[in-house]
Amino acid sequence: MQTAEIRYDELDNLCVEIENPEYSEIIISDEEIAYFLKEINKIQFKSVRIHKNNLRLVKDDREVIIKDIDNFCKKNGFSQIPFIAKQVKSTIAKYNKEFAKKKKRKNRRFGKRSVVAAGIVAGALMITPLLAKNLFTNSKGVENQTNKENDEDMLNSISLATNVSNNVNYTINDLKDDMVENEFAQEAVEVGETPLTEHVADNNSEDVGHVAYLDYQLSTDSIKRENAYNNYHDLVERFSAKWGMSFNLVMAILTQESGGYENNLMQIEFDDWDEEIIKVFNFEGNRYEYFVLTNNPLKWADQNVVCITEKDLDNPVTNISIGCVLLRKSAEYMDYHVLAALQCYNLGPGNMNKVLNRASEETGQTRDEMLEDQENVSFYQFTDIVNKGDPEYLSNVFSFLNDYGDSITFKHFGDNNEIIEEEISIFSTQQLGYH
Amino acid sequence: MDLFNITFNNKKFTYIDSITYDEKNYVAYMDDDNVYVSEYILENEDIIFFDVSDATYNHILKELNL
Repeated sequence: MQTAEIRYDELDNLCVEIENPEYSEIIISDEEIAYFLKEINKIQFKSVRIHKNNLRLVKDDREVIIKDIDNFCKKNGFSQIPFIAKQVKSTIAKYNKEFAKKKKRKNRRFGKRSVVAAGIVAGALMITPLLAKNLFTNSKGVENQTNKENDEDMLNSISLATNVSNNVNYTINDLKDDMVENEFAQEAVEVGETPLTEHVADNNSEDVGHVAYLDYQLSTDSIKRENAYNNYHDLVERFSAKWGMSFNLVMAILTQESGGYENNLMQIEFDDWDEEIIKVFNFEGNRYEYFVLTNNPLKWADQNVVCITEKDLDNPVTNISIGCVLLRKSAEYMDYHVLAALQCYNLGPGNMNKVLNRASEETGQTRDEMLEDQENVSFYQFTDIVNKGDPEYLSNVFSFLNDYGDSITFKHFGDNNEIIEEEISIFSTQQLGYH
Repeated sequence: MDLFNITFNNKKFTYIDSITYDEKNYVAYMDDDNVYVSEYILENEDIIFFDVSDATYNHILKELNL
């Protein structure tokens, strides 16, 4: 296990301690630490654990330990690592929501009051508005910027230690895996009749979310957002759940496509899909359903399919449901690579294949390699090679998410027929200063 | 355990999740019995909670998938 430990020293300076079998290093330079934090802030960790006021983040054979979370939050440390803060916040929420399920829902009033919130909670309450306002700056309010020459100098001085996307040679300091595991197992804390431990998440790969970076900005067109939401959020909620995708994804698509102002709400391209049996799984009814887009329903009379005519798509209920169905079909064509599925929904399968072929030629990756990795958006550079659709479709759809870093989810079946829910957090390269 | 606590009126509640919605900050938390939602602001080093309407309560629970 290779480890980097982040902590405030006795003089209240933030420092990073890195160890590997060959050397030990402590980084105290503000600039180097800022660079280090920027790099680790790109990582989607597989495991997020809290033990005795320390936060431990693990991915593969690398771990990052943030010592004394209480003090780290008081110093507003999470403002420098907002993506990590989001992961911690999401994991806590995911875990605690399980306990919340059994409790009543009654709005009780206490009056205005000052509260005490320590450690992670204080950090989460501070980071929530920061995530909303997208203040990705370091604690001194200076945007992390280094020129290329400084990057190379720092890389040379820190060696491989901060290049966390490659093999990194740093080792654990004083926390050992078995100690953490054993002590966690012993220190379950009771809240009423329900145990609440300090551990959150685990390293089950099915719980791992992905992160994608795209060039987009949140839309300020509140009129379009509100019109779409106010008129159709109930239908979107109904059909996004039925067809196994997150509400925010379908709502963003509808808002981008029509803003709720047109009959063809999801801008379904009838001709791209007509006369083809579409088999999709209904996650609420737990069964497959079959559709055909056709203006000649008699042709399909003897087959057990639901026929949808072009005129039927003027009905909002049908339109939103079939929009979701076609997104599912697009995902099937794209091996359930969610972002490729979304672009495929816009371009059509034939055109999307052209885009993937060009991307493969130019990047040297195979189609399978691109589609295996949910975070791989290299195809997005080539969406303008076809004379159809919107080459910036993903950016335009995601502009109608609620927040940078919002997660979209999409269900599908794995090799063993198990249901897999892909979760992808969508960050903007503009907001993070990454290019 | 304290890492997840919110304390007021001499009582401890457990943090669930927080969100910014319509430019306001909201937090969901629970005790043994119930799930609560409050609007909150950060005032210097203090965190101040405010009650929310029933409509807002229901809406925030929905936004947080609770």
